[in-house]
Amino acid sequence: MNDESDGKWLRDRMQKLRASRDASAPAFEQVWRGARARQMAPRQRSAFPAWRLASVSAAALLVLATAITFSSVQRERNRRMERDFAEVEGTLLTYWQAPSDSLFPTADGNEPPER
Amino acid sequence: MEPAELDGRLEALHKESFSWALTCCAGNASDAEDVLQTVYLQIMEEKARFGGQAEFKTWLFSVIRNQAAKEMRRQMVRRLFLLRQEVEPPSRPSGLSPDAALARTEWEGAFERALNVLPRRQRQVLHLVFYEDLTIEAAARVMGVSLGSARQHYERGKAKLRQRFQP
Repeated sequence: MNDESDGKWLRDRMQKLRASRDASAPAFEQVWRGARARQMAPRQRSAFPAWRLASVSAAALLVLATAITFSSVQRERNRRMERDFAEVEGTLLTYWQAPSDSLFPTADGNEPPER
Repeated sequence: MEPAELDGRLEALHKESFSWALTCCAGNASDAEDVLQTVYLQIMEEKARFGGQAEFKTWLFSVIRNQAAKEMRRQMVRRLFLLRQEVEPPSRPSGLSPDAALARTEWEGAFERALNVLPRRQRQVLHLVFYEDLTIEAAARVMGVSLGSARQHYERGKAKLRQRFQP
């Protein structure tokens, strides 16, 4: 199908569609009257007012902020604990002595000879 | 423009406007009627004013397109945030009366359904060019896109329909 016949075919279909749509379009007066009635009527409350969107967004932001704060506090606490443990371990290592015979008493109760 | 003249012009373009609204609302007749009513209301309240820079029809169709897009967005947000799918009564495609719907051939129904499932821009450009007999350039102005973009949507839309309906 070349471009020209393509266009002709589509135009033909569209014009048929147009005839059927024209037949089913609501009357101008009906739509116009509806618009006029809406103009005269007091403003209806929107089904989805802006304040609802704003409060949903604010709540979501609050939850997000709380989650971020909680996780950063938790991370900081873990880091501090690790530092404290490392400090205690370091202190203990300072007093550590290599094992030697002098630490063990001999069988006759004498002190082991000095080396 | 005088109110009486404005009313006259709107009335003269009413059927075309409804059909355009229908295309912008993916074939949902009740949405299209709502959109058109809101557009008329905006014009009455002078929230949408014809400045005379473009043709009246081009301006009116742009207002309808914008309003339809706003309506679609609102429906999407409603579905997303409230997680509430409003139950719509089963609507006839294009708001046809039962007699007219019966009279239509199955093929015509299939054509309209295929048109309605095309991406929005492709559907719109094909409507403006083949239904309204506008040039692609004028269609681009109504759609608020560049000529190149409109041409691309036009070619893609046409190719999809050809693929679907080529004998």
